[in-house]
Amino acid sequence: MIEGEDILLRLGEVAREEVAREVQLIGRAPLLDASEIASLKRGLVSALKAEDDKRLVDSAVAGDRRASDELVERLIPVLARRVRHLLRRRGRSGEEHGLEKDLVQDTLIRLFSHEARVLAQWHPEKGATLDGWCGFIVDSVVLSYLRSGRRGAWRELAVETDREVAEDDGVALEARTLDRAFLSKLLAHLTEVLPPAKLSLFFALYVEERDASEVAEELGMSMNALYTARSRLIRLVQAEARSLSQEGVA
Amino acid sequence: MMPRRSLESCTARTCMLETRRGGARSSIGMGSEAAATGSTIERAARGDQRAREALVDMLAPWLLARIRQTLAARSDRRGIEQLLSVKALLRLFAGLPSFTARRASIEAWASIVAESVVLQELASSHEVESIERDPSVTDAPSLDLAALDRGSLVLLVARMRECLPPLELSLFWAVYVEARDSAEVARDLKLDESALDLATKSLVKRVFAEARRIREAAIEGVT
Repeated sequence: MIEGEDILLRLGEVAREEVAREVQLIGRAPLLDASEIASLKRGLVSALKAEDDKRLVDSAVAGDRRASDELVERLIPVLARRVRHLLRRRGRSGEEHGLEKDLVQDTLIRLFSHEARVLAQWHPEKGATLDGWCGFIVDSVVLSYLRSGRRGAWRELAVETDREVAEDDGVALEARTLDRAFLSKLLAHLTEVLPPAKLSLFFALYVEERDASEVAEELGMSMNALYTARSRLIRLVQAEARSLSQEGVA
Repeated sequence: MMPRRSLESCTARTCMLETRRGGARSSIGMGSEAAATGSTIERAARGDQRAREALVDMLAPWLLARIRQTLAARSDRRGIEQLLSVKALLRLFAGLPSFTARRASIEAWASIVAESVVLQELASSHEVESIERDPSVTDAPSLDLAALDRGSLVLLVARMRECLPPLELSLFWAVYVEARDSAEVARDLKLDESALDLATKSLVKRVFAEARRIREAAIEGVT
């Protein structure tokens, strides 16, 4: 014990009593703006949920079978909803040949395979909820499935990307953004190289041109997290565009 | 050394609270309402989701009000209230299993934790070296605690809350008010063992110096 520390212990006790007295004097919850409090409550409830999810994910990643089962049960409806949403947006029905169930299963396999390596990459402190983050993986699985051509959903893009861009004459990257063939090739390239989370964000913001706040809510991110992710995405896309442009020149 | 403040400025907040007394409860922690709250806390501590949400419902305004009040007094930072509320709530819930109503009402405890979280945030950018180099911190003679009456102790706490440097105030609040483990607090504040000792010694010196000043002022007042 540090010399004189007893005064701090006594003062700590007095401070606790003082706070209790202040609270007692106020008597009822402080009156604050109702919408602000409602928004705060939503944030707090989702933070608690994220804590629970984190514990469950950690146990599942550590090999706890019961936690894995509980997590699968918890995630199936979330994944199914997301698959349905993505398929409908592209004019497809999840019911055909059990497509929806297959894609949910593919997503679960991706999440849990290799000792749940993909699942272990979820960190709530980075801003995404478990639902939002698993949504990224669903997007990746579904988009990859649609892009593969098995059902032809993205063939029109494939045709665009087949255009010859290798004859590029080395014009500046900025000028190249006007080149539709180059953009198509870049888009195809991005769907190959971008991580699922960034790809999902790219599609939501720039392909579907959805409102940032709507995207943030759906992905379970704060607006700040979304803006940060968007800036990183832009830098990444610029780098990929430069690299692709140089490849073309070569 | 803590800057001198008038007694009036230090007690202004208490006066403000008195004027807001309006619907004051005669005694938080008593009666059927308190029993229901106690049961909610117990269920929330066991992980009952509905009980946890009920507690969020009850405590969110207290957390936000305290965070806003502490931030307003010591910083012009905006936009981190939500983040700090979440941190405070998670810390509060993590401590629920050991929470007892004997310490304080749950609302008061939420206020203590919220203040602690804000102080930690404000202290996080504080340079530890500045404590060592602060020439205003000098050895102060020890003081018999019994020489300070309760009013002086309350005044001393008020002065500490208003005038201590962020790191020392955060340390005081987390270890001695919130009663957290000092090693855990040191980790949060990114202090090693020697820096923690240094900060605590500095804190003791400041408090003794201020206590002595209050004591002298009280004696002068009597004479």
